[in-house]
Amino acid sequence: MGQPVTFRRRAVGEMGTPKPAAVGRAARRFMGKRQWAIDDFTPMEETRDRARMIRLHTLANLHRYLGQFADSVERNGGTVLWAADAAEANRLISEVVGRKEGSLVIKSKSMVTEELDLNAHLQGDGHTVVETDLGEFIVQLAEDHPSHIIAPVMHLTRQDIGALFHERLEIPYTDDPEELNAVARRHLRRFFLSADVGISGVNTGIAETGSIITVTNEGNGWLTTAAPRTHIAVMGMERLVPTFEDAATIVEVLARSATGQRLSVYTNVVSGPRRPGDPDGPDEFVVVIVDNGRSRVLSTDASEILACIRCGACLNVCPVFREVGGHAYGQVYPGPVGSVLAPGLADFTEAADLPFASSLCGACREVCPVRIDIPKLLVHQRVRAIRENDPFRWLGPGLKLYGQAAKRPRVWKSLLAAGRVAGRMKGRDEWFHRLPFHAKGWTQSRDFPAPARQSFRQWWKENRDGT
Amino acid sequence: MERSRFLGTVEEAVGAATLPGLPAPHPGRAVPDLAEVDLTPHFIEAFELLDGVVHWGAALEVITGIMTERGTEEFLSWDQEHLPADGLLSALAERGYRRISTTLPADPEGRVPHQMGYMDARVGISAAVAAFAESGSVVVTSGPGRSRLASVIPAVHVVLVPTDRIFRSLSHWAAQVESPGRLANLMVISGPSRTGDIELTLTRGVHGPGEIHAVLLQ
Amino acid sequence: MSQSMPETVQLFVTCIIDAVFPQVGRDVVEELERNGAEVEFPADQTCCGQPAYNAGHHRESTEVLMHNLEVLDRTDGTIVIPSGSCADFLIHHGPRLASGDPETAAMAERVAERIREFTSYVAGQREQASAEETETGDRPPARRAFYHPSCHALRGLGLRREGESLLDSVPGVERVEIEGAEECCGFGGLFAVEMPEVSTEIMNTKLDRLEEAGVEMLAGADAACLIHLEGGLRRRENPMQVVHIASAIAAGRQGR
Ligand code: SF4
Repeated sequence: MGQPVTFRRRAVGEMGTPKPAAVGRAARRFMGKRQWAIDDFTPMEETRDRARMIRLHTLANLHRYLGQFADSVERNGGTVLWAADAAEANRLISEVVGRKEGSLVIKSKSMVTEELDLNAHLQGDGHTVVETDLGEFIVQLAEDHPSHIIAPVMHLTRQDIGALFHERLEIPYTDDPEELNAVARRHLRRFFLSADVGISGVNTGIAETGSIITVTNEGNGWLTTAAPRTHIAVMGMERLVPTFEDAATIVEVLARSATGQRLSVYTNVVSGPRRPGDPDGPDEFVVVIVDNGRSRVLSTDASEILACIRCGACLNVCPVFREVGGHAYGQVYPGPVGSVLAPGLADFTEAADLPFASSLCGACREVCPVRIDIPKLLVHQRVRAIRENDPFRWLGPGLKLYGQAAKRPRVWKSLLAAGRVAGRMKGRDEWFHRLPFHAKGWTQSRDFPAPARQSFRQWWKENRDGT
Repeated sequence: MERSRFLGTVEEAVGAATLPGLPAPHPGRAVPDLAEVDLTPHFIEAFELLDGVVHWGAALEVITGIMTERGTEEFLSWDQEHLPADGLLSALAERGYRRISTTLPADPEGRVPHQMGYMDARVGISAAVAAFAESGSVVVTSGPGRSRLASVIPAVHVVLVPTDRIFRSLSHWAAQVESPGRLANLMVISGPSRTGDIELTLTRGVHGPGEIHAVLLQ
Repeated sequence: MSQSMPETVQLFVTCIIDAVFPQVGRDVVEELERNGAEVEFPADQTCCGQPAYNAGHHRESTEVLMHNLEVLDRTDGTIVIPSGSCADFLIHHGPRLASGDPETAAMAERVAERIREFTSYVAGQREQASAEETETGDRPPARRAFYHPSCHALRGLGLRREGESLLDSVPGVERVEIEGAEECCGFGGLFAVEMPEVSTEIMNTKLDRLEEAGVEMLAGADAACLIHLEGGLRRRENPMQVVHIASAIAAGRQGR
């Protein structure tokens, strides 16, 4: 038997809780809102093609654009730090934050810092870290993990959140989203205005201008980058485009794909620290560029996944994600994109079963705004998993036999004949209720048909063949 | 890590990458050429669709109206020279409204105490350097006399929008704007602050302004 | 039906229909012949190779694929496959897997170009002949039927209307919609045994919706999805009839 099938085990655990139902509902509602209005000045299919070309072009020249980006940031008066892995990134960020003891750090939503487990690291150094995206704030209060890349608390109901606020923020219980929202606004306001350091992610970096873009609907991204004295932007190294015009295309596609908006409420373009004469804004701007496995992914046959713009649409349409929710994946990036990316970013063998967590239905490929062929990449990752740490080793011999037989018609026919014999011995009413060994997975919940007494090819031979 | 080592690793990975469509040319600068249309009605429609409130002219009346409704006499604002409504700030001062300074003190230690003074600010005034008909967006920038926090901290944001600054879309504007990296901050705002984090129920004003008013100026 | 010269059609019947549902294969042959085709069955065909491909076992898959490409390449005429999934595999993945050397790549392309999925072929023929089957005589009371547009036919080949129009032509059938009609049924090949619980959960969502819509007959053009769904329905003791579209057509005609 192979390695423990961890996705499967986690999925079974999650499916036993109310969480997946909340996720399924929310994911379907998400897709319902997703639309591309026909009266737009932005033609849908052409813009998707354009976005895809921009992303692939950037990846194919990534080292050059990264160099240009760093030069531009420095020209604007910012600092660039390079982190090969999570440990280095955390150390570098700590050094910037730690110039003052016990700093107050506010964060706007950033998946790459989840990857680094940055909060724990900074807290370990004695700093206070406050997540400001409402969803991330809830996650932090609950000591939980985000379950979706753009909707972190998709797995929680309003009642869950009401109870949490009641307990942690000591307010009277309410499950009215408006009121909960107002509570969070009041609570977080003073952190925005008094924080020492703001840490943001980077949705898109722009090589030509040395800018970073954050997109948020709440405004926390803007506040995080505008109010504290120091702004640290943590960027996955692939999140780059050549020009401002390219970035415009990306954010237009992103907003439509993620939430059905033409643009997110706040598309925030930051190009360095405040300039002389600026009345406000950070004095210090630091970009931390993080590899953490990305160059490894880039050099495999899953490179294309790095074109992802993190819209979350592939999660929302995925039938597996809808049933199991984000936590079953056990990784920062769940869903189809994560099942390709996570095994590449992490030690491959750790997440080798994730690429198998898909029925290959193709809904993700259809919906992806940059047309990433996710099912193909999942299959590539499966091939690699089998080579390195096959999570389904028990299938190997069967597939070997299949491969040997199905390329030799004679052998194939005898295999079918053997199947018929077995079928006749066991199948009472032409459907099995129980299959042996690993095939019992099927009959846990489904009957399985016994082979027919006469195969099609026999019938053809006996009735239709001229000979 | 050294920049050169980091980039060396990336270059190696690029060499081994299996991207479709290599050599993956850049798509070029292509913004569709479209027939001339009057963009103002499009902007108004899109802005209102986002629950923004549109006014024509009369910035002073609009702002005093909001101040009265909100029961406040204080506001944050850009400097007068960056507002396309002549004499607006002096007129507000004459009527007894007080502008909270948005210029940080020179001493870095003074930043937080100064910013804490915005805690109760309810109205912020700034102006759009561009607006987009497609998405109902307005663009505000940083720069001398142009505070960032004036547009994001208060509960109500009043933005003055000269109609000749309305473009079709972000892409159309991006295709012609010059050196956008020159300014430290450029913010494209599309409607009031909102969140859908709790069961995807849309609620407004979570961190940024819950209300946005555009005063259109011809 | 067709007045023109009979067209030669090669039937690639698929391993599942061959071994488990031969009657479907016979119904496919009958329908093809009614549309004026002369059907041939290349006897050395086995399986397209997709099961191993999806599972990540590409050596096995490619060998099986090659054998079948060779078998099909030796024949002439349109190749009809009564499965969206196998057709999608041979059309879209075959050429990629066979791209190792130029000759096999060219062969894979040649074969791919000749392939038509069953519903697409028949719907196309009927349109050409513009002779929709019009039924006379007593119509049995209409049964609520749903056409399951399986994922690979739908998203791989862009087919859905074709199968639905065939179902619409079956007498005594009232085609209905269900919620999430285009969502996956959870089969997914070996996924169904590698992740059985997840596969089952997705299936149950589909079955619940079929039940909610009061569906009495479930038709489709991918026997594998149908096995999975029927297997689940049997556990629910739901008597919903599950049929391949070719058999639905044949049954409708024969009043069976
Ligand atoms: S892979 Fe595509 S659909 Fe999925 S998150 Fe990335 S961009 Fe969106």
